Formats: sequence, structure tokens, C-alpha cells
Amino acid sequence: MSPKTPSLSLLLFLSCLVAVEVPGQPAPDQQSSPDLSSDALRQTDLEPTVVEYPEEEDTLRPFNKAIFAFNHVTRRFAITPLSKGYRRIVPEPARKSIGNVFDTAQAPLSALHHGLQGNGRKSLSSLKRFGINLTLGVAGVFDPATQRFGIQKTDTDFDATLRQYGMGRGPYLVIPFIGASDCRDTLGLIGDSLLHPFSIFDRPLSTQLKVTDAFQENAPFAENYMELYRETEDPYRFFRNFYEQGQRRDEDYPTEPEQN
Amino acid sequence: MKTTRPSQSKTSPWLAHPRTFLVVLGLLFAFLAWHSTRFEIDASAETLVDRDNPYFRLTQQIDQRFQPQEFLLIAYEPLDHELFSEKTVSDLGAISQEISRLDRVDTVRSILNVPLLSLATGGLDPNMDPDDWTLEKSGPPLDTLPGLFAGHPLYEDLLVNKDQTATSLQVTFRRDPELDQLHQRKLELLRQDEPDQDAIQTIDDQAEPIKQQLAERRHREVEQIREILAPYQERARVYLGGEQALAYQLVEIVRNDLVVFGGALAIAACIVLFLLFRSIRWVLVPFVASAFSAVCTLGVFAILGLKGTVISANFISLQIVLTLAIVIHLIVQYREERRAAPKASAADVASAVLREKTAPCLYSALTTSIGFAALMFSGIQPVDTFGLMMILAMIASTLGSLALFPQIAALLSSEKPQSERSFAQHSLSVGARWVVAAPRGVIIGSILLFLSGAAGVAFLSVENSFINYFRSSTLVHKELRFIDQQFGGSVPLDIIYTLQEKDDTALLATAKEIQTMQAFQHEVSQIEGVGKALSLVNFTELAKQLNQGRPLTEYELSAAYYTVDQTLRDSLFGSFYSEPHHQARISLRIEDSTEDLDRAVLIDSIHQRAADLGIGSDTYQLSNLFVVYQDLLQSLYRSQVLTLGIVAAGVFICFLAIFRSLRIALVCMVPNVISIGVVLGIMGWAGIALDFMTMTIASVAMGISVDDTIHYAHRYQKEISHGHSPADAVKRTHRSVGYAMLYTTIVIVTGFSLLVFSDFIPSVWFGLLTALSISIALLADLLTLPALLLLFSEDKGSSEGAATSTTP
Repeated sequence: MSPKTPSLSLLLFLSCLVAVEVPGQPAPDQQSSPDLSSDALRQTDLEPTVVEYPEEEDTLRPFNKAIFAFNHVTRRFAITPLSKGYRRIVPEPARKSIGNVFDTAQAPLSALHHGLQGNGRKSLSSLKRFGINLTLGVAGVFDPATQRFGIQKTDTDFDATLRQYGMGRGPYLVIPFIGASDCRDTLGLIGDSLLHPFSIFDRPLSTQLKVTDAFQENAPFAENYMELYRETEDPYRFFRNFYEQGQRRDEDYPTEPEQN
Repeated sequence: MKTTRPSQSKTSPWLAHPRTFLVVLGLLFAFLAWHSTRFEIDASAETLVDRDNPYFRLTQQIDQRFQPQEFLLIAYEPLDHELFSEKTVSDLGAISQEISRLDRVDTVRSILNVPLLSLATGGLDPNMDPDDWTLEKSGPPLDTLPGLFAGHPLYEDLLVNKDQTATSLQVTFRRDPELDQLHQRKLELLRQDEPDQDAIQTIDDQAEPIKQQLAERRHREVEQIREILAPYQERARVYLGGEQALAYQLVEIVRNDLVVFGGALAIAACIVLFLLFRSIRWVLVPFVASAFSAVCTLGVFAILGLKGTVISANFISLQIVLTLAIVIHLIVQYREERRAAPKASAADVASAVLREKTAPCLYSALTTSIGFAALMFSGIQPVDTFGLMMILAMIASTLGSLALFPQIAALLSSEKPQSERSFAQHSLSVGARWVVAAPRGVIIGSILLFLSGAAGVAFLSVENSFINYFRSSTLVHKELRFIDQQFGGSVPLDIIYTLQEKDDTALLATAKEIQTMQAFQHEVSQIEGVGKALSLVNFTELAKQLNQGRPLTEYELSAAYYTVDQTLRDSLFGSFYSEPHHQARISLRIEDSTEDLDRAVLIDSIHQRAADLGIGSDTYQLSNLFVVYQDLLQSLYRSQVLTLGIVAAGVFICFLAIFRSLRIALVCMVPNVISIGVVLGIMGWAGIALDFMTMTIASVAMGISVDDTIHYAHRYQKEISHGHSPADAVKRTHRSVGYAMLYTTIVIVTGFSLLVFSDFIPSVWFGLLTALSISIALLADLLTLPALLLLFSEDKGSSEGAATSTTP
């Protein structure tokens, strides 16, 4: 842990370590438990197209609900209007280039994690992407790596690495500003934030860059958040399950091995 | 025409002013002929359906709930270029553009403009416009297309066939908002415990003209589209399919058959009449009488708003036959009277004919009408209507013939008395001799014939295939069959799956329910005859493909549903998912041209597979046309038995009323039972299924053949009452009415046999089987009936003979 780490994350880290053995976490064999798919589907040899998982215990619920409420205010009055404005003012190609720059900046981090996960090939291709887009792509504004060399983006992160090493997700956690997460993911985010290439810049520039990155990445979904919030009776529950089921699905169905 | 009047007969006052009378008839004819131009044919699938059928009601509800758009399919099969080539792309583009210009067309979906989301680079942005990723807009290399469409959950079998040899354009049409509103209101009314029938009637009355307009419009649209497609036929086979195209073809074929076979039958009848009577006048008179009654009937139908349907496709042929039968009896009687009184005036002979034949003609009209009236109890809407139409036609024919024939005959110059044809004389006298010599042998022979034929009844089956209504060598059949086989079937069948109450109301559906639907849809698709299946599952399959083969979570699915733009949501999912009712629709199309498809088994298999999967029968319903027809077909047996029972009972009562003798009434039933039993048996032996058309054969044939029975028995009684011995009476009856019976049968059989050349298969069967049954009826009437009359009047009927012989 670097000295910059805020004490909150240390707390969270500890709670995650505990969480590994906490009963809220499903046992591994339960994940492919047959009652996760419908009786009818089990009569056939079909693979499901939609999956569900039982709701897990929400140990940090009071804390999470408070943060969720806080986040909703920030989203409603700041992030969503800003994102709308961003999408309206900045034309699509420019937004795409901005996205490319941040993606390129992220590539070394992905390379590192691929390496840690023992995936040398993906690690190498992430590095190649970084090299090509930084140079030929004019500091990442363009994406010649995909368009000219056909090297697809394969992002990964600390969270995936931690998962690979057998760490459990820990309880569900809503992080201020960012939203749905869990202990391991939070830990990963903090780790990635520290390891991110932008960290070579001094504060506050590095922080500004990271916030901007998060903002532009979230921008396309900002309006969707509001729509879903309106459509659902219990938005807290909806977003929690949305997040948790997505995580469980990713564990059960890891992305297919890279084609070339 | 007031010439010397023989003293023994007097001219009927009816025949005093034949010319004036004919002028009045001429005016009536002109009036009705003018109306007859407005006669309409409606062959839409809906005309076959009883409005009160519970499945039909359900189908209408489902239609309002999910509001699927009607569509036509155009298949494009290149002749000498690749399917995925510039030529195809430019052809499809041009066709789409031209068709989009039609008024009611909403979209023309083709491989050019459907979103190919796997082209979308950079992942799935929730705000991206799927229309940006189409062949037109993003222009992927043509050689990547086979891969893009192969196994595509939505488009395979819908836009590109499995073999990738043909592609299709799906033309969707806008719904009529006014009609939807009316339907909605009607359904609301029907939902009440005591529906307000008046209000429902008002709505129906309002909806009717809109529906009619819509039907005409659809017909014109199909015509316009066919015109648009014509120039492309050089480089590709272009086929038109779908429910509306089928309806169009049915209307065309019905219209064609009405005229062509009506006409051909008239001509054939003329030739036969000439061969039989060797006299132009006896060709012209029946011709005039037939034309008169046919046109008048059409006029009456138009005035009453009765429309021709698939089932009434033959009514003109039928009516001509009925008219000819009456007129031939009149001619034979006329010639007989003429032979008896060579010097009498035409008016007197005509009067005599009228005197002798009015009663039996009215009786036989009555019994024939009973045959048609029985159809009105079938419970099958179009068959009911057909029955009503034929009763009207029968009335027109009888009144027309009885009015026209004597008037014309009264005007005719007297002709030389003519003897009947020698072949007829010969065969009738041989028949009479047989009957008199060995009545028991004749009866035993009849029983054997009846039993061997009727045993086939046990093999009767019910089946109805619309595509097989068309002869397989016709272009129409090929077109419809191609689309049916290559692009996922023709007749719609919906499975409406009710989603359970879920724990989290924010969910569109739980994953388990989608999985259950997926399993259900998969299993059902395996059943033979089931074509393209579409539902939410196809979308989740597509989403899974796009998500690198990883399934969505139920929350992702719901989020996707809620965040999609409202109009896109309605157009994509609206027809598959109803939020307020919490129901999902699996839309199946059944491949109607599948050989030996057993439709009842198909429906049973759906239920069976659902049960195997543990899907409760209370969680889903089957609906749409396929189920409605199947329900009707299931009732066909019942309808057939019911209608035949009613015909038999009605005819029997008539016999009783006419002959005033239980014994003779019973005896008269025999020839008719024989002919119907044998024909139904032959249908069973030959594997000709009962369908909406063939179920009318038995009743119609019985209605017609009863005439001969009445004419024969009536004459026989008369001969007995004139003091002839039963054997003599048989011979004399054979030599008089026998001719008329033989001649009418020859004309009817010749006329109906022509229907063999129809491209409309139900007409072919109708023609052949009716001809057959009438031939058998003639044999039974000339052999079995007199044999029975001989046996029964000899043994016990002497007192009755004595009773009636006092009359003259």
C-alpha cells in the first residue's frame, strides 16, 4: 500500500479479506447449481441466453443506501446534465478521439494485468496497441492499431487479476460518485488508480485526468441511468442486482479466448 | 298463338299472354343483371371463420394486445448471379424503393436495411442507432455477408433461406387505426358480463365498410406489387407469398372458376343437350333458363350483400346444373305430351307440361333446398352462407324454369313428335327388365355395393391445406410453396406465454422464464411442419452472440428494454411482449405445404412437448389462424354427420308428405343413402380428406339426387293409380321419367366432370365426387328403387294400390 492510500480503502480492504470466508459469499460449487436455470431448459441441451442469480445478502446496506442516495443527487444534478451537454456540444468523432486517448493511456495497465493473469499474448497485444496508437495514432487520438493492424482492444483490470488469484468479491458496495461496486472491485479501482500511467503526473493534474476519464467513459450511459431510475420501482435494488448479476455472469462465462 | 284448341285439354290462364309475360321477366332480368355487377368475392382467410369461434375471439384479442403488422413476403432467387452480389443489391434496392411508394406500406425490410449489429465496431453503445449498421450504410464487403446471415437468430429463414440461394423482402403494412379502435371497443364490450349486443352490432356495422375497403385495397396492393416485380423476372425468380398473397390468389382463382367453369359447363351442357335431343330449340331453351336464373341469383346476392367465398366458388356451375335438371324434366314431359297429342297447340302442350310437372318440380326443389338448408346447421360460417346462397339459387332456378319454359314452349312452333335416343331406350328397357325379373338380386347387389363402398367411411380424415388448394403444377402453387418452404411457413400460430408474477417488478421477465420460453420455442421448432419461430428469445440469442457468446443477465435484458427508444421498443418488442398483460408471444408459422402434415398431431405435439418440459397448460395459450382452422376442422366430422342427418330427416319428412306412405318414404330413402354412403366411403378409401369444401359434397349430392327419386316414385305411383300392375308401372316409368333422369344425369355428370380441369383442387374433388354420387344415385334410382317398390308393393302394398287407384 502506498502512503497515498486513504484510510477508508484500508478499511475496505480489511473487510474484503474477511469477506473471503464470510457466508454471504457463494460457495464455488453453488455457482453452477442446477436451479439457476429453469426446469424446462434443463430438459434440453441448450445454453441459456439469459441468466439469473439469487440475490445475495447486502451486509453494508445502510451505508450503501446512503451513498446511493448521495450518488443519485450528484448524477441527477451534475453528472447527467454535464454528460448531456458534453454529448451535445462535442461532436461524435471528437468524443471518439477523446475516448481513444484515454483508452491508449490505459493500455499499459491492461498489459500489466494480462501479464499478472498469465496471459502473455494479450499482454503483448496491449503493449503493441499502446506503442502503435501513441506514435502512429498521434498520442492516441486515432486507433490505427485496430483499424490498420487489426489488434483488438482487450481491456482488463486489477479486479480481474484479484479474481484470478482467488479473491472473493466481498459484500456489495456503493462508492461515492462511481456507484455500484464490491469490495474487491473497489480495491482494484484504487490499485488501478495508483498504477495508472496518469499517476506520473503531479496532483491535481493526475486526479483531473482520471476524473475526466471516468466522466467521458460514463457519458454515454448517463442518460440511461436516469431512464432506468425512473422506470424502476426500487432503483437501489435494480442497480445492485444489475451489478451483482453481471459480476456473477462474468465469473461463470469468462470472455472467450482471444481470436488471434 | 291462339290456334285451334283440342277439346280434351285446356290452356292454362298462365299461358294466355306469353309475350307480355316474357317482357316482364326480361325487365326483371335486366334489373337483377345490373345489380349482379356488384357481386363480390371475398376469399380472405377470415371469411372461412365463424365470428363466434372462441379461438377466433382469442386471436382477435391477441391481435389487439400485440398489434403485429400484416406483411407480405417477396422472395428473390437469382437465376444466373450470386445471391450476395451487386446485381442483387441493386435489384433489391430498386424493388424496395418502388414498393415503399405504395400508400399503406410501412417498411420494406430486406438484407439492405436491417441492422447487422455484429458490424458495429467498438462495442454496443446504448445510444447508437442500429440503423447505422446496415448493409446500405456501413457497406461491408459482399463476401462477408454469407457469414453474417448464416445462423442469424432473427434473419435466417426470414430474410435469407438456409441454403443462401434466395433472399426475401418483408413488406409490412400500417394497421388501420380506426379499425383498431373499433376492435378495441368491441373487445371491451365483449369482456363485460352481459355484453350490450346493440352496441356490438353498431361497431360491427361501422367496421364492415372499413374492412371491405381494406380487402379491396389489399387486393390492389398485391396487383401493384406484382406489376412492380414483373421486370425483374428476367434475372431472378421473384415470388410473392404471405397470408395476403394467398388470399389474393384465392380470390383470383375463385373468380376465374366462377366464370370459366360456369361457362364451360354451359357449353358442355349445350353439346350434350343437342346430342340427346337433336334439336336446337332444346339447347336454347335450357340455356336461356340457366342464364336467366344464374344472373338473377347473382343480382339477388349483390342486393343482399352475400359474398362469394372459396367454398361457393362453384355455385354458378351448381346452379346451371340444377336449372338444367329441372328443364330437362320439363322437355322430356313436353315431348311425351307431344307424342301423345301430335296435333295439339304448343300452348296446350305447354299447359299439360305445367300441369304434370309443377308439383314434382316444386317437391324436388324443396328436397334439394333441404340439402342446402342442412349446410346452414354446419356451424361453419362460410358453409352456412353457401347453404343460404344455394337455397336462393334453387328458388331462382325453379321459379325461373317454371316461369320461362312453358311461356317459351307456348310460343314455339309445333315440332314433329320425336322418339327418344335408341341407346337410352335400350339401356332403360334392359334396366327395367332386370328389375322386374330379379328384384331380389338387384337389392342384394345394391347392398354389396353399399357395404364395400361405405366401409371406407372409417378411413375418412380431416385436413385442410391452403397451398394445396392450388394444383401443384400451377405457378401460384410453386410460388406459395417456395416461400412456405424456404422462408419459414405460411399459416400463423401463436403461443401466448403468460409470465409469472416476479419478485422484482422492475424485471421484464425473469431469466428462468426466458429460458423456459427458449426451451419451449426450441422444442416446438423441432416439430415437423413448424417453420420460423420468433419471440423475445431470438433477441436474447442475438444479444448473446453480440456479447461474445455470453448470456445477458435478466437485469441487463430489462435495462436494454427500458433504455431503448420508445418507438424502437414498440417496433422491436411490441409484437412479442405485452407489458400491461405481462405476456410474451412466440410467433410460429406453419409450413402449410408439408406433405402429409397432420395438423391435429402438430397441435397435440405442442401440448405434449410443453408437458414434457414441465410447462403448465395454464401458463400458455395457442391462438391465431392455424388454431382457429384446426378447431373448425375438428368440428367438421360433427358438422358432416349433423348436416347429413338433417338432410336425411328433412328429405324423409318430404317423402312422407309427398307420398303419404311411410313404406314408400322409407323405400325412397334407400337410393340416396346408397349414393352418399358410397361417395363418403370412396373419399375414405382414396384418402381424400374432409375439408371446408369436400364436406359440402354429400349434402349437395343428396339434394340433387333426391330429385330423381321423387320424379321416379311420383310417376310410379301415378302409373299404379292408372291401374297398371307394379311390373308394368316399372316399365312405363322407366320409359318416361327414366329418360329425363338419364339425360339430366348425363348432363350433370358431364358438366361436373369439367371441373377436373380446374386449378383449384377443392373444385376438382367437388366436381368429380358430386358427379360420381349422382351417377350412383341414378343407378340406385333406376334399379334399387324400382326393385324395392316392386317387392314391397307386391307383398303388402296391394291395399294401398287399391286405395290410390280410385282417384282417376
